[in-house]
Amino acid sequence: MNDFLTPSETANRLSRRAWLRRTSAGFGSLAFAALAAEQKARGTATTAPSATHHRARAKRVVFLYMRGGPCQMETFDYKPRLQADSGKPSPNNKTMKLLGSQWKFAQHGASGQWISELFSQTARHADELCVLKAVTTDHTNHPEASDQLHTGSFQFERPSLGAWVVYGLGSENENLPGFVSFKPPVQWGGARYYGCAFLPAANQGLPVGTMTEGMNKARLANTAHPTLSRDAQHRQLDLLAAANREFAARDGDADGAIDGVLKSYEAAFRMQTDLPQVLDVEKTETAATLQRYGIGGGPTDDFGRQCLTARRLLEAGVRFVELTHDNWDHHAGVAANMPLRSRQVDQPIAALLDDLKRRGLLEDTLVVWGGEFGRTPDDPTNDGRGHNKDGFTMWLAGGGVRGGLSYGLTDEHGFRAVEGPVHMHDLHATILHLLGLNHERLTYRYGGRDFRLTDVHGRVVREILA
Amino acid sequence: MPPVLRVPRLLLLAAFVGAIAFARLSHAVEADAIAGSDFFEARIRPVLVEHCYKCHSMSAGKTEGGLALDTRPAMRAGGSSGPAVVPSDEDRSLILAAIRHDGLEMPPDRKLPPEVIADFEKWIALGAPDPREGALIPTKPTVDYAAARRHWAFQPVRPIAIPPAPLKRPALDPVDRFIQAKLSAAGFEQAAPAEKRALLRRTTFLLTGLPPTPQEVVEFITDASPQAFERVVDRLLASSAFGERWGRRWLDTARYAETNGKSMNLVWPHAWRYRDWVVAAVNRDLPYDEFLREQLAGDLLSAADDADRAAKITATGLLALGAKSYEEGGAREKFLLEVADDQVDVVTRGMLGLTVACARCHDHKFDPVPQADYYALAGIFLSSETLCGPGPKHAGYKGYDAPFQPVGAEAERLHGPYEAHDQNLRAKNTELGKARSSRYRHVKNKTSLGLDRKKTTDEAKLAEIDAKTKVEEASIAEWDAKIAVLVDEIKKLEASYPPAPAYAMAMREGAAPADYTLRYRGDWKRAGPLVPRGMPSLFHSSAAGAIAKQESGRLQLAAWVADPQNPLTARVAVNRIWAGLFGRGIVATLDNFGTLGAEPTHPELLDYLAAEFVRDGWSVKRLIRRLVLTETFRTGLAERSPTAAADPENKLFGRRSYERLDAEALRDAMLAVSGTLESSPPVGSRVLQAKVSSANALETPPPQEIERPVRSLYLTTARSAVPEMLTLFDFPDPALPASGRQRRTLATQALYLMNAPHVVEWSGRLAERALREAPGDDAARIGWLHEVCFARPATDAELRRLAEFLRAEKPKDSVARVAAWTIVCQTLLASAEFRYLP
Repeated sequence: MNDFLTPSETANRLSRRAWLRRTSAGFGSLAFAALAAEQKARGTATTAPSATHHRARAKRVVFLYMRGGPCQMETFDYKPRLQADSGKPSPNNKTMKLLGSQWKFAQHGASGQWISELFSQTARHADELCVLKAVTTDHTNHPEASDQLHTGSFQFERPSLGAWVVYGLGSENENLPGFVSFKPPVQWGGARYYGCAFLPAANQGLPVGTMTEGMNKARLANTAHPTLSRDAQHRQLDLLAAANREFAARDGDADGAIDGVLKSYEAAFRMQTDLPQVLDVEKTETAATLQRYGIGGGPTDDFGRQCLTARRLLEAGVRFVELTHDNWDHHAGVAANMPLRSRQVDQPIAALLDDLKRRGLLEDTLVVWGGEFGRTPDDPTNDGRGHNKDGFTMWLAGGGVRGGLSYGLTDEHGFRAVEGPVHMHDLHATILHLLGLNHERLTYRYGGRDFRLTDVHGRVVREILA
Repeated sequence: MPPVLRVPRLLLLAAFVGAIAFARLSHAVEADAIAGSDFFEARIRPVLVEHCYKCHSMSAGKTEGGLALDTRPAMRAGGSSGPAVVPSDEDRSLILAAIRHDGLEMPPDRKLPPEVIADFEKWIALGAPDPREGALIPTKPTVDYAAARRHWAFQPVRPIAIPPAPLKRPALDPVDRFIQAKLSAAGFEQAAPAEKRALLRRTTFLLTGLPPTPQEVVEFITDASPQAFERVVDRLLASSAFGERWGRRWLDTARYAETNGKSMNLVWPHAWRYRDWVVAAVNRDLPYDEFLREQLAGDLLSAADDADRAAKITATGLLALGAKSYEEGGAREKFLLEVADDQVDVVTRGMLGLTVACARCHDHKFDPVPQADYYALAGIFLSSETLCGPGPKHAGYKGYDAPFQPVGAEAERLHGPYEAHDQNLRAKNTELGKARSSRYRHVKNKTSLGLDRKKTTDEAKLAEIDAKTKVEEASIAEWDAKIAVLVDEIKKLEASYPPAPAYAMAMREGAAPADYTLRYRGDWKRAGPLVPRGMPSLFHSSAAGAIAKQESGRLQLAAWVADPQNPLTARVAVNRIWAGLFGRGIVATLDNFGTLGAEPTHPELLDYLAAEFVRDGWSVKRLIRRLVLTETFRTGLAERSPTAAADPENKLFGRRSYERLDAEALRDAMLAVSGTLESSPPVGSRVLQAKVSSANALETPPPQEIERPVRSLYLTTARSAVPEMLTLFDFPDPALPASGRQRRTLATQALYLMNAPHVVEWSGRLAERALREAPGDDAARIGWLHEVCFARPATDAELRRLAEFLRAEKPKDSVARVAAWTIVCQTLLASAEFRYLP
C-alpha cells in the first residue's frame, strides 16, 4: 500500500532529526554518491530490486532519443553504392533522385566499424558500439512511430519502456525516482513516452524540463518552499511530524498508513536536497568535466548537460534515463542540418561513453541511440529525405551487447532491411532480456488480460549478445 | 457475401468447407495428390512438427504472428504477414521465404538444411497437398464454456434467505445481519460504533467529497435525537455536492476527458456537457437502469420536451468520448473498428464487469465469450455514427471528420447558419493551405534555378535561367496576393461567427446499419463470416428484442443491459456503490466479474443488494442512504480490535480502515477550508483556452488550472496533461476506463504539499480566515482551525505545541503574523489526519 520510496531500516538506524541535521549540512554530490552507495550496499531500498527472470547483463538503461528520425546513411550505415549512384533516378520512384552521403566514412577501432565524420568523437568508441543496421518499425508517421518506439504500440494506450523496466526491476535508490525523462516533448502525446498507462503509478517516469526549454533551465517542481528558508521549513516539518505521530498514537495506525506519511516526508526532504544537486552540474562538477561534455554555452551545451546529468543519475541508482534531442526530421536542408545536429550530440555522447567506461559503469549500463525511424536514400526535394521505417540504424553499447559488431544489412542504397532485421518489438524484447527480464513473462493484468511490452511479438536478438 | 453464422456452427462449417475443398482437389489430381499426401507425411509433416509447431500451432496453444501450421486451412490462411502456403505458388508461399531466411527467418535459431528447403519447394509446386483437416480458428474452445457458464456472476440473481435478526434487535438491517453472521462465524464481533465527529467527517467526505463545516459538526453533536444521523445523511444526499462526488466516480469508469489523447490529442470543446449531464443525473437520482439506457441509446428514447431530448442525446456522449487512433492516411474502416472497440470495452467493462474486448482477436481465453460475440456487439456500434467532431485539421487526415450534435430547442434554427459559416471557413483554410503549397513550389523552383545559375557561365543558359526566374517570381507575387486576400477573408470570417447552438458529443443511428464480419485474429483486413448484431450469446434473454434491419441495435442493447434479469448489471452497480462507501468492493475487481475476477467476499449480500436495488427502482440515492445507515458503515476504526490482526485486509468489514482522500477530495478540501472554493459550479469548460497545434491538437493545457477556485471535477480534463497534483494523488489516466483508485503514499506527494506555491497560498488564505473569523486568542484560533480541518477540537498537546511555535516565531507585525499562522496552517493541510478519513 505504501509503496513510496523510503527504507524502514534507514529510518530505524538514523533518527529523523539526525537525517535533517545531516541533510541541512548541505552535502554535495560526493556525499550524495556515497549515500547512494551506502544504501545500495545495505540493501535498504523498499522498492527493493526484484529478482530477475535470468541473469541480468545490464542494470540500467540510458536512451538517447534522436527525435524526428536521424539519417542512417549519413551517420552509421555506410553506403558506397548510394554515394556512387547519387544523383541518379531513384529505383523506388523515378521522379526522385538518389542522394548519397555528403560526409566521409572511415573505419574505426579494432572492429573496423564504419562511421561517418559527423560522429568522429563517438567513433572513438567504435569497439563498444553494437550497430543495428536493419531496424524496422510499423509506421512512417512521427506520432505513431514514436509511440511504438516508446510503448511498443501505436494504436493503444500502453506503458512506456522505462515504466516496464522500473516495474520489472524496482528502484535502486529510494531518494530518486526509478525513471527520469529529460525534456520530453509535449506534442504527439509525449507524456506517453514516460507514462505508465495501467501499470502502478510509481513506475511512471519523472519528466525534467520540456523539449522546448533549455536543459540549463530545467528544474524539478516542488523542491523548494516558495517563501520559507530551509531552517524555517525544518521547524515547520518538526511541527508536522509531531502532529502526525500524535495522530497515530491517538487514533491508532495498525495498517501503517500514518507511518507511511511520516516517512514520505523524510524521503521528500532528502529528495529535495539531493535531486536539485544532481541536476546542478555546474556547481558540483569540475571545469574539466564540463568541458569534456561541451557544457558552457555553444551547440553542445544542452545535450552535454543531459548526458552529464544522466551519468550522475545512473550512478546514483536511477534505472532508466531518457534524453531527448530534437530536429532530426530533415525533409530539407540536409547539408546544413546534419552537421549542426550531429555536432550537438557527438561530443556529449562520446564523453558519456568515456565516463561510463572509466567508472566501470558501461559493463552493466545499456546505452541505446536512435530515433523513431530512419530516412530514405532518395530525395523528394533537393536536399532532403523522407521517412524510412523499413530499414534504419540504431545502436546499443555496454551492458551485455557485443561491442564492435555491425548487425543486419540494408540493401545497397539503404531503402530496406535485407538481412538481420530487428523489428521494434525485437529491440524491446532484447533490451528487457539484457536487463534479466523475459519479455513474455513480464506481464501486467489489466482489464482481464495480461499485457506485455511486446504484445504477442518480439524476438530476443541473441546474435548481438556478448 | 460471406455466410451468416453463429460460432459453434461456424466452426463446424469451416471444417466442412475445408473438407469439401480437399475432396475436390483430391478428385481432380487424384494420383498426384495421393502421392503428394505421402510426400507430405514423409517429408513435410515431421519438419513442421519438429521445428514449427512449438510456436505455431493451435495444439500447442501458441500461434505467434497469428500463424498456426497444424491444420491445412490455418496454414493456408497464414498469419499476420500473409498466407504461409499458396498451392503451386512459390513466390506467395511465405513459408518458403521464411525457411530460406529471405526476409523472414524461420526457424529463428538456425536455417534448415538445403535438402529440407528443397522438399518444401517441391511440395508447394505439387499443389501443397495436405490431408490435415481442421479449422481456421481453434476447434477446441479454449474455455470449457459449459463450466464457465456456471460461474457465479453469470447465474441469475436469486432470492436469498436473510440471516435471522438477533433476538433483541429485530430491526437490524439485513445488510448488517449478513455482515455480522459472517463475522461471528469467524469468531469476531463488529467493532464499536464510531464517535460522532468521526462519523460525520467520514460520511460528509464520502457522500460529497467535502469536509463538514464546524456548524454542521455542532448541529450533529448537539442533536440527541435518534434521527440525528438520518437527518445528516438526507441533507448530504440532497446537496448538489453529492452529484459532483458520485458523478465523478462514474466519470472514472466513463474515461471522461476533453481531449482525444493518443498521438493526436484533439481538443473537444463540448465534452463537458456529458460531465454536467452525469452530475445532474446523479443529483436528481435518475434511476440507474435509465441512467445506463440513456447513455447507450438516449437519442432513440422518447423525450418529454426539448430539454429532455437534449439531455438524453448528451448522455450518449459516453460512447463518443473514447481515445481515437487518428493515423495520417489511415484506413477509415480501421479507424471505425478502433472506435467500436473502445465502445465495446467501456460498455461491457463499465456496465457489466465483463471484458468482452478481450475477444476481439480470438475467443475469450477465460470467460464464455466467443469472438463472434465481440463482433455482434461491435456491429451495433459500427451501425451507429459516433459524433465526436472533426478530425485533425491537416490534409493527411482526410476521412476522419464527424459533426458534433447540436442539442436544445434552438439547435435546428442556429445549426444551419453556424455550420455553413464554419464550412466556409474550413474551405477557406483548405484553400489557404493549397495556396501556400503552390507558392512554395515556385519558391523551390526559384531556389533550384538559383543553384543552376551558379553552375553555368553560358550566356544563353543564363538568360534562359533569368527568364524562368522572372516567371517564377511573378508566380510567387501572384500567390502572395491571393494568400493575402485569403488571410484577410479568414480573419473576417473568424470574427463574424453567427450565434452557435449548443453542441454535444453524441451518437446517432448510422445511415446504413448492417451486420459486421468477424475479423480473424482481430486483423481488420481479414474478414470472416458475417455476425448478426446482437447480445453476448452467454445470456439468453428476450429483453433485448430483435434488431430490425434499419436499426443499429443500440436500443436493444440498452434494453438488455438495463434488464432486471441481466445477472451482471445490478451486481456490478451495487458493488461499485459498496466500494465507494466501504473502501473495497464485495468483489474487489470492480470491472471484472468474469472468471478471472475476484470472488465476492459476501456473495449472498451482493445478490441481496442487487435484488433490493432493482426492487427499489434502481435508486442510487436510496441504496446509499440505506448502506450509510447500517451499523457496518457506522463502526469505528478499532485498529486494535482482534479483527485487525486476523483480517488485515478487512474482508469481513468488521471495522473501518483509514481511507485516504482521493485527489479531488484532497484538493477540494484544501480549497474549502481556506474559504477559497466557489460555491456554484462553473459554466462550461476552459478547455478552449488550451494552446493547440495547427491540427487542433493540445499543446499545453489552459494555464493555472490547479489554482482555479472550483471543484476538481470541473478542471479541464485533458488526456496526457492531467494536472500534476491530481496524478500524484492517483487520479486515473483518463485515456482508459478506470477500474478503481489506487491510494499510494509517495515522497513526491510530500514534496507537493511541502512546497507547491498554491498549497502555500491556500494555507495563507486559511491563516487569514482564522485571524479574521475565529474569535478570541491564539488558543481559540488553534481550536477553530482543528474544528475546520479535522472536525474536532484541538488537544492540549496541540494547543501547547502550536502556541509555543507561534511565540517562538515572534511576529513583529501583521504581515509576519499571517506568515507565522500560514506555517501552522500548512502543517494542518499537509498532515496525515487531513488526508485520511477515520
